[in-house]
Formats: sequence, structure tokens, C-alpha cells
Amino acid sequence: MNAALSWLESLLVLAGLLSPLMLPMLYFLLYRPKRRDGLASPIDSLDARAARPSFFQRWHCGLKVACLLATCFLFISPRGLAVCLADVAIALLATALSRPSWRRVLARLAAMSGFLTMLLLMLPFSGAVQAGEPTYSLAFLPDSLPLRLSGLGAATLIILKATAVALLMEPMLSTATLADTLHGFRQLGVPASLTQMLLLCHRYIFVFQHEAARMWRGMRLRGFVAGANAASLFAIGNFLGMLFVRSFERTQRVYEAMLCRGFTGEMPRAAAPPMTARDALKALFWLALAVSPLVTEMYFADFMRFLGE
Amino acid sequence: MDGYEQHSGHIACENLRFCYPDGALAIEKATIAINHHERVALVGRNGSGKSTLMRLLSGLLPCQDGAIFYRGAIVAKKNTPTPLAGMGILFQDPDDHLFCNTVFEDVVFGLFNQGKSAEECRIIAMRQLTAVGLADKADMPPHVLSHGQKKRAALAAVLAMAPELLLLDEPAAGLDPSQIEAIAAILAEYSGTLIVIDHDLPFLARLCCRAVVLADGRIRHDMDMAELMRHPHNLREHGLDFTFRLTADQPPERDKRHRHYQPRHDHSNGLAHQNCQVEVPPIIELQHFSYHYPDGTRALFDINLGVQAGEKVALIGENGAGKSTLAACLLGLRLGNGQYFHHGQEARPQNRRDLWRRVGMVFQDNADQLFCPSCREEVAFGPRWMRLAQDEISRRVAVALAAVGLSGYEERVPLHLSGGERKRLAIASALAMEPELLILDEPTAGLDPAGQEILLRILENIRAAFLLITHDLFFARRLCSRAVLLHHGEIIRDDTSADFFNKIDNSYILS
Repeated sequence: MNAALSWLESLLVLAGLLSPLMLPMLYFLLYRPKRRDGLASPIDSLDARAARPSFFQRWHCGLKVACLLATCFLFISPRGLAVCLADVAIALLATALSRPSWRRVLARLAAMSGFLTMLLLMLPFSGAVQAGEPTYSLAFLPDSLPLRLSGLGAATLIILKATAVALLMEPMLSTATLADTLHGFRQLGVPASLTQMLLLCHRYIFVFQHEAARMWRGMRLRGFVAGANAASLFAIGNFLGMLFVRSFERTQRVYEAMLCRGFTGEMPRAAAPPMTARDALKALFWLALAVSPLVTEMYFADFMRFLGE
Repeated sequence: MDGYEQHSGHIACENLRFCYPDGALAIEKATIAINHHERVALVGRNGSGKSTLMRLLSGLLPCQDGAIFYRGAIVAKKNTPTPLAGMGILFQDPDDHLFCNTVFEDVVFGLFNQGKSAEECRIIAMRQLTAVGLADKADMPPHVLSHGQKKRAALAAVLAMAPELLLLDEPAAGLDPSQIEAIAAILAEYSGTLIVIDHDLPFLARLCCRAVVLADGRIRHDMDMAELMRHPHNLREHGLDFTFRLTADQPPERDKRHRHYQPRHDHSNGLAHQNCQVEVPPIIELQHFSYHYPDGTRALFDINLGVQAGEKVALIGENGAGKSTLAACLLGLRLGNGQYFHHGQEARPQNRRDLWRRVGMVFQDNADQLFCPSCREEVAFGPRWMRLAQDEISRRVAVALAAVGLSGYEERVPLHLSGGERKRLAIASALAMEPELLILDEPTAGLDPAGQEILLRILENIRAAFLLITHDLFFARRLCSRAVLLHHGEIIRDDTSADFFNKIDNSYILS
């Protein structure tokens, strides 16, 4: 069952396939003009808003991380379009409840948009057409490359799942200090060495950024312009090499400073506040909410079919 | 144990010798004993072995030869860095110490490792942060603090552990006099044994009663601090000379008058123009120029500043006054609001991108502008991007290296040069572009007095105009014909050097 689309219809379909690219455009429109002086905008600290009271901020950190991680796995398991849409709605609600930096939320989604667009452009046009499967021929493509609805559906499901999980990162990572969040991950069995490295990375990425910005400025002040030529690549190679050397030397000094203050391989921290009944109730409520679309799909198939129609 | 058994005193070493893996001899036959509660200054030129000796005494470097005694007993030799218990060590770069995600976490880090309870840690940390004036910054991430605040936070993190022996590597480096005052006041309260490395002798003289002078890895003098200060020939011999620094506790009122080299407007709000007509327009001029950081913080306000060809101008002000931001604006790196003139023509923001051809810059931390594998490459970098002919590039490299006394260093690796040599290389790399105006940001920072003397001679011979950003009043007075004082982003004095230093009122302390 192949239907030929007109030029106008084909262009509309193409616009739909390229729609994830609107996210970076939106980000650019909303936030880019604020950079007036051409310098790199500072990286926001991941836990800059950790002190803002919210549903998630007041939740026991370990339990919160466990519940939201479980939610991520729940969200990537269902198959129906309506369930995925419900999952995105729940993730959006969770994000709003966490009182996030919408700039960072949009930046995170925009960062995924290239990959998602590739999926939308590839999946509908790849794979063998099954007998009786509805397909559409776009005006600017040969008939041998029809658009498959099943492929389009699969790509859409992946995009919705990815979006839901990406949205959940905000309540998971930004509603407590990074040390607390990583401690929550440790309670789930993540190795201590990994969480320590993440903590140090988060601290020193700002130092690294400042060093890189100062060095880049030093190059620009001596006429350097980045381009696709040998001289430019040579200069960038030197720049990266020197950044590496400086970072390596700093690593050594930081390690020594840690040793001087009694470091024995474990980052010390105050004991986390104990879990309360309120935290457990929150967990129950949250898991019930998160699992509800999947349960609905499994046990109320007729209702879901109705929604699908 | 190699014939060494025990030693009186708090910490001591005998016949200490240390070579780096590349064979460079850093410490040779060092013997020293420091008593409990003694305050010792370790002084000497850059590369004399001060930091290496400190790291050896603290256990961060393995003792290769000789012996170290701590609390009267010999320290067992180990191949891995093992800091000795009860010591507090502060490195030069505070970012090395602040490795946690908030200042509070950094201060409690050592306390937790000492096995203290959470409540004890909290009380001690807040008391220590209050003592260094950072109680309100406890929950802030370290990267948002200023350099001076980071230094104080790092010191608080070390002092919180109540060390019986404190080793400090250049605690006053890169700080303005008011911040140095704050650090000195904190250290004055410390009652344990103190070993301090610094180039600022007046600062050391306030803290220490004994001076150990190192040269080429050997201990040359071990004397009373006051005696060292009284004997200029000792200072001269080891490149130790005073730097003069400036602090302001009550800034003078802002002058209602300001000058433009090419006034193109009038004022009706009480401001007035000084007559300053010149035949040749200045190289650059800012008129009523302001700059705000992206977060809205005011950095510069109503700046009126011009620099004539060949003029030497000192830009003075405390940390955070806006000096480096003003330099970035002059270089066209930051845009801001107001008028920017270049040779009398208004430079639109899009045209300021080409200013690098005429305005050179030497950064405070020269590691920020040295990234090439050889000195020749480093100096040739700018001329090469100016698309000059190879012959001209070679000529400029040779002239620039000769001007800073680095002829023959062409194939040396910049990373392996000493601090003073790297600073001179950074100046050569800017001079090779033959700028009309050179901006020097704290050129004396981290240099020993001998290195500063060489730098002084180099700067005296530069023909191009330069803007010298400095806390060092001696350099400003010696090199510059004009001095500009910046305070909280505003120019509050702009005079000839003679008038500036004559008129300076008693609120300025020359130390």
C-alpha cells in the first residue's frame, strides 16, 4: 500500500522529520543573544540550585536516586505511543516540580537533537517493507525509497523515551548537592572511586575551563584564527597538549594536597540524614505514578487501543 | 639508620640531598633545625630549591640522601609521598587545595579525616571560616571565589586541622596589599611552628624571626630576620630586594573632572572636561566606557582613559578593582558600552577584533600564553599569524629574544624555563609583533627580586607605549610617566607619576 505525496505534503513530512532541530534553534533564540562580548558563557554548576526547596529537594537522596533510576528503566520499557507520551508528561511534571534551570533542560535536549534527527531521517527509510505495510513516496525521493510508517513509529518511540529520560536527569541530579547525589549512587552500589572521580571532575572542570579560556585568549591576541588549515591544526594541537600537561601537573598537586589533609582513599562526608516515613510515602507515590502508564497498557489494552485510535 | 639517630627541635634535616628524575640537582647538603614555635622564612631566588626543600621536609618527596627528623625522631624513608602527621601545608595555587564542591566541604575534609564528629567538624569549620572572613561563602563552590578569597579558604582548610607545624608556599603571591594584610593577620594568630616561603621580604619580616637563605639548592645563610633586612649586601647577593606595595583603606573622592583627548560631547550633570587637546590623537582612548559582567555585576564605570604613542602608564588598584577587565576591554576582548577610539577613529565592536595587530598583552600567568614546543616557535607564533614573510619573522624572533636577553634560547622548551625566563619569553612573544601599545598584567608576580631587576631593565628599553598593571609601586614609579588609580571599577586618580606620588595622601601606605 504505497501512496504518493505531493510536493507540499512531502515538504511538510520533511519538516516533521527535522523537527528535533528546532530545539537548538530555540535555545539559540532564547539564550544566545545574552552573550554580548563573544566570550564563552560560563558553565552552570550542576547543583547550583540544590538549595531551592522542591518536592525532590526535600526527598531522601538515596531513595530519590533509586526511584528515579527505576523510573528511567520503566520509561524505556513500554512500547505504545500513548504510554510514551504519558511518560514524557510525567517526566515534564517531575522537571517542573524540581524548579530547574530551564536553560539547562533545553540545552540538554538540544544536545540530543542531532542524534534524534538522524534517527528520524534513517529509520523510516530503512528496512524491508512488509507485505501490506502502508508506505508513502515523497515527491523528492525515488519510489524505491518509500517512507515506512512502522519505521517512523519506531523512531518516534525512541525519541519520546530519550526525551523522558533526559528530562528526569534534572530532578535526579540538580535537586541535591552533587556530593549527596553521588552518595545516593554509592548506596546503590556504584564504586566509590567512580563517584570520587566524578566529584573531582565536577570541581575541576571550571578550573580547566578558565585555563582553556585564558590560553585561547592568549592565542587570539597573537592573531590565531581557528580554521581548517595546517597552521591552525598545529596551533590547536599545541594548545591541547599544553592543556593536558597543565592538567596532569595539577592532578599531582591536588593529590598531594589531599594527602596532606589526611586522604586515605575515601572522601569523607557527614552521615546522611535517616530515611523517614515521609520519604517512603513519597517513593510509593512516585513509583505508582511512574508505573501507571505501563500498567494501564498491560491491563487495559482496550482502553489503550481506544486512545491509540 | 645511616648513622642518624635523633635530633632535638621540632623538625630538622641533615645533609639532605635531592635530585629530580631528569638529573637536576635541587637540594645539596642541606642541614637545618627548627625549634618548636619558631617562625622561619625560606628565601632565595626562583629555582633556588625552596619549594623542593619544603616538600622534602613535609614528606611529599622521598628523602634520597641524608636524614629528616620530626618531633626528635628520624623519619623513615619511603618511596611514596607520605605527609608527616601534624603538619599543615599550603601550596601556592589555592585551586590545588580546594578540591571539594563547596568551601565548607573543603574545610571539613581534613577534620573528618582526623576522625572528628560531624558536629565538631561543623563548629570548627565555621569558626575557621569566620576567622578568615569567609563565613558567608561557606556554601559556595570554590570556583566562584576571587583569588584572595581562595587563598584564605585554602588557609582555613589547613588551619582547621590545628597543625603543630605550618609550611606555606608563597601565601602572599598575587594578592593586593589589603589581602596580604588579612593573611598576615591570620598567620600572626597562629601559635605553632611556621615555615614560610615568599619573595615579599617586608611581609616575611612581620611574620618570621629567622631567615634561611637558599641559593642553587644549598643553604647559604641562616640568620636572624632583622639582621638579613639590615644588611643590603646579603639581599643583593641573593637577589633579595624589597618590593614596594600599595594599599588603600579609604579611597579619595572621585575627581569630577575628566579629560578627553578629543572631546565630542558636553556634560550637564556636574561633570567637567579638563583641557587636554593634543595634535596627535592617542593610540587608544576610552570615553565614558562601562562594562558589566554577564551576570549584571558592574566591573567598569565611566572610564575615560587614553594612551599616547610611547607613553608609559601605570594602572594601579586593589584585587578586583577591574584592572584586568579594563585590559580586556582595551584589547577588544570585552565590548562594554561607551566610546572606543583608535588613532582618533571610533572603533566599532566588530573592528576591535583586529586590535591584536597593534595592542600586545603579557598575561600575569605566563603559562596562559606559552604553548609552543620551542622558544623560537613561541615568539614566531604572532608574526606568523600576521602573515609576515619568513625572513621578517626570523628577524623579529632574533630581535625580540635579544631584547629580553634570551638569545641562544631558540630551541629550548618554554615549559622547562624558570619563572623569570618564561616571563621574559612571554614579553618577547608580544614584542615580536611590534605592538604600538603593550599591556603588562602584573609582570613582577612570582618573580624573585633578581628576576624583577632584569625585567626592569627590559621594560626600560621598550620604546612602545605600555600600560603596566601592577601593585608594585616601585615599578610604577620607576617606569611610568603617568599613573592611573582604579577603585571598584572607576578611575579615581589620573596624574603624572610625579604628581600622583606627591599628592598621594596618608591613606595610602607605602611599605
